[in-house]
Amino acid sequence: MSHVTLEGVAKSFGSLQVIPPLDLRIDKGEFVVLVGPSGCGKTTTLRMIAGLEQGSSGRITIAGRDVTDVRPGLRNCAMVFQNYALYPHMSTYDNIAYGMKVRRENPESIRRRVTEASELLGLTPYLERKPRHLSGGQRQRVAIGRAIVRNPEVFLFDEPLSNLDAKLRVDMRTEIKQLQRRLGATAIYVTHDQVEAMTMADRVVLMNGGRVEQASDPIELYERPANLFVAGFIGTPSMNFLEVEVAMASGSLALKLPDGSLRELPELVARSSLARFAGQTVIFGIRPDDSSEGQGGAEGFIVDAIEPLGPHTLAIGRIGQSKFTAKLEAHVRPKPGTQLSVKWDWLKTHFFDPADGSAIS
Amino acid sequence: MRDERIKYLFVWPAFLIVLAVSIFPLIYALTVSFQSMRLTPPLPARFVGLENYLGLLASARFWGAIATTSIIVLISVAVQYCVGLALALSLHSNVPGERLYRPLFLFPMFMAPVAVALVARMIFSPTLGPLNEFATFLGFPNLPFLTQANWAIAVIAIVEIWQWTPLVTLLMLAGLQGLPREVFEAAAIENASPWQRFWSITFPMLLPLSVAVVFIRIIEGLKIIDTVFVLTGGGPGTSTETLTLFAYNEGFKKFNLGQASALSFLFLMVITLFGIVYLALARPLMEKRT
Amino acid sequence: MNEGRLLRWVAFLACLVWALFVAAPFWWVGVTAFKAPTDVNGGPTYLPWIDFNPTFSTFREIVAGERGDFFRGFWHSTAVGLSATALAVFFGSMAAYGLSRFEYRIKLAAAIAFAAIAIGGFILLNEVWRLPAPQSLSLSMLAALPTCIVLNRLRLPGPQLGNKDITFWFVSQRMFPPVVSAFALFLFYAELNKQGVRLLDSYLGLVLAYTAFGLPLAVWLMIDFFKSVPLEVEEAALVDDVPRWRIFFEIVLPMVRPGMLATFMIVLAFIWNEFLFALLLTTSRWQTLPVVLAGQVSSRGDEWWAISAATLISIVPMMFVAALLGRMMRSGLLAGSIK
Repeated sequence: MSHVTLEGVAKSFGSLQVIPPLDLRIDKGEFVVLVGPSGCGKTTTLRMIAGLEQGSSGRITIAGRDVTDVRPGLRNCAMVFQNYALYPHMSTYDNIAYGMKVRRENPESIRRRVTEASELLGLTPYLERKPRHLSGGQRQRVAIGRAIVRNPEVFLFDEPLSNLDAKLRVDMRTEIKQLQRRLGATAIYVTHDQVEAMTMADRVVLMNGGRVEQASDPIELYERPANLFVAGFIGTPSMNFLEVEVAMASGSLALKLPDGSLRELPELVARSSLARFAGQTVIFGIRPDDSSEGQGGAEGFIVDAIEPLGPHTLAIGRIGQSKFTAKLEAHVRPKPGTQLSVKWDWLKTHFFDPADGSAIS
Repeated sequence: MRDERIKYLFVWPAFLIVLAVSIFPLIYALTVSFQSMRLTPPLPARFVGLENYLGLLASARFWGAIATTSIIVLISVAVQYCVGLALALSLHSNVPGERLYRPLFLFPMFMAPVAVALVARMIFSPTLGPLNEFATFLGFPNLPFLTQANWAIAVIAIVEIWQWTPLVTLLMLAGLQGLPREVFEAAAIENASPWQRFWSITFPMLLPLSVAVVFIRIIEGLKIIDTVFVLTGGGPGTSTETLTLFAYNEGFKKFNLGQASALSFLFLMVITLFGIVYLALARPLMEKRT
Repeated sequence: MNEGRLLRWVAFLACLVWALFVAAPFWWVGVTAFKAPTDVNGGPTYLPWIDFNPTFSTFREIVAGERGDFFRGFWHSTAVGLSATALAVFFGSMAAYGLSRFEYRIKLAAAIAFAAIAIGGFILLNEVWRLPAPQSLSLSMLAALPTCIVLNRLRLPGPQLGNKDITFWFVSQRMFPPVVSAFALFLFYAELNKQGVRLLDSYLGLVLAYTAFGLPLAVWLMIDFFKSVPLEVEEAALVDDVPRWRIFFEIVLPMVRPGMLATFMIVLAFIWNEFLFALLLTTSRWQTLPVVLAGQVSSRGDEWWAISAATLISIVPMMFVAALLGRMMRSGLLAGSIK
């Protein structure tokens, strides 16, 4: 049974619709990450679940209870904010205990739960400190501690790691994920960082312009993007796109690449649905990771710049008018202007309908 | 949402206090301004229509008060702005002794205008004051600082300048500190002279704030009474009488309440009119850079 | 570089000259307050121990209560100033918080209806039915306010007033020439006095007037302080089901404490120095310092030693306030708020 559901939830400011009706179901114990470029509505969606933002229409339920018109405090969510949102004049202990004190819970149980949470998060030595005397990572732990002691139905995270430095971010990522498993809690996590999304999520919800582009587990998102947007957003460096013409050559399907070369498609790739586009232009996608120097792909790859990364070197250039990036051996250093041939793994190629960007399977 | 109801609780107390203390009496005063109401002799109030207003508009004393007030305000605000900006620039560039100057330059605006005027009265005193002694020392005749109309207005303006330049300095300094440093560094790299930097960067960027500061000072300046009350009492004759002092004299010396109310509403109209014209003129200046 | 150095010298000299100009009057009061009457009447002197022999006699007289009116004025100013400032800052903070956090909508039609009912009702009651002014005013307000609230709920055409307009309404009270409201308030208090409600020349009347006088300033200053507080902290509390009033008192107010302190001092300075209201609303019993000081001119004429001592005492508290504010400002506390 779904633990959190959004049914036709929409949001508009005046006449501007930022989120068209949106449906989303989240299971109990699931770690869902909302990801997308800035302004895609992921934070607004999260805030509507928290009740900090009122939707213009639609229904939200949490644990089977309709909370659409329930105020934030009664939705039994706990939220961790981007800037931690700690109470600056209260010590770590008071920050964690404040909510319970306001709800007039039994002092003994308050003390017990704060102690438990602080031990879990390694905050015990810092209980008397004010937030301004804590490091970024410690502040984030306090914010998480404040969320844990609520024992909520759902944890909501709003870009909680974006203010931490890169190394700490990686550590906290694992820590949050482990914590969520241990508590068996449902978590909805908003980020603009696709690596965070891929590594933490049970299911990634990729949003764009207020709409869900694709919601699936990370590997599927990477291997079978539903459309051009998903394909371009997930993966670094991002996928190469070439406009190609689908042609029939001696009874089998072939591609006419922008450099003019004609490639016959292997049997496995020449799927029936691609045949529908015979004689038309489609968008061909291949990840840089799956393309390298060699025969079998395009011949007219002109290198503009190289980025040696250590384990391998990226060659950035173009094929015809389209930009293209290929992964080369670490020690290959073609000069700018060099023309190379590239090959790719045909099993990892993608095709998209240029009309609506949807994937051709 | 629950906030929908509670939000009104936050503004109601303040709203009701202002309503009770400012708006209530204002309505009453508005009706009084259309009546003939005197406390001495205590005649019953009688509706006279616009008579109070027309009487004022026809009186030379009213126009005199407007002229006096405007002259004092124009002179003093012009000097306040120029000096205040210059001081702010100096403090901002950390002149030697800046730590000492900062509090000193602030002090005058925290003094009661009455107290300031009392001190000025001593300093400008014709017989025992230090200034006239100094003038005599330099060979000037004894100057009639407070007893001759033009001198008196100059003295009032000087007192206003002394007291309120600090406010301009304070606000302009805050504005200067808020300007992005990169722009100045870029200009320094371009080898712009300090003078060029001021006219092409600092001044234009401070223009919106300047417009606001001058507005505040003019509006506040128009209300002047305490300084004049203590320094000259409006004299000699009524030559230094400002609008507020005129209203006070009318209402509390002559107890002509109807007239005084009408006067205060005329005053309100003058200020409103000024405000509208000023803001309309200043709008293009404010919008250009924000 | 040369031009820059020259400019620095000019700036330095200008500041020095201005500093002397600013300091001279302080020196003069400071010196005169310690003079004996004979030293004053002998013409201006400036240097203690060289020009004249300083004496504490005037201060002794004041402390001994021989200048009773002055001593009372000091106490009145303190009592009225602190109470009115506290109220103004408290209610002003509440209003400023509301205006910076929630959205208010008042329909212009409802606001006009309010003004029409209030003014029309007053004229009707006062002129036609001959009710005394305070009663007619209260009644017409009592009629106007609920009507306005009900009208505001209805679907009325026409423009709506938002937070900006309400803020402007508050702040515009400060732009009013005070003589308008001081006069009106005097007339109103006088009417109430006739009916036995003593507001004229009383603590309560003054505090009420000054609270309203300080409110616009407090609202204006506090709005900026509240806007600088991150919203997330309050949202965290909302998610934790902390009631709005506790968020305000226990979370937001402690966060804006420095700003509130600054606002308190600025409002206090304005009220402490205010002259016109005190002049109109007091006669003898509750005169505040500025009125007492102004009275010294006529009552004591050329007793400069006494006037100086009184002036000195009345400005010392504000010098502390100014020094404190200056320190807060240097630490950059108010830099963001003044703009």
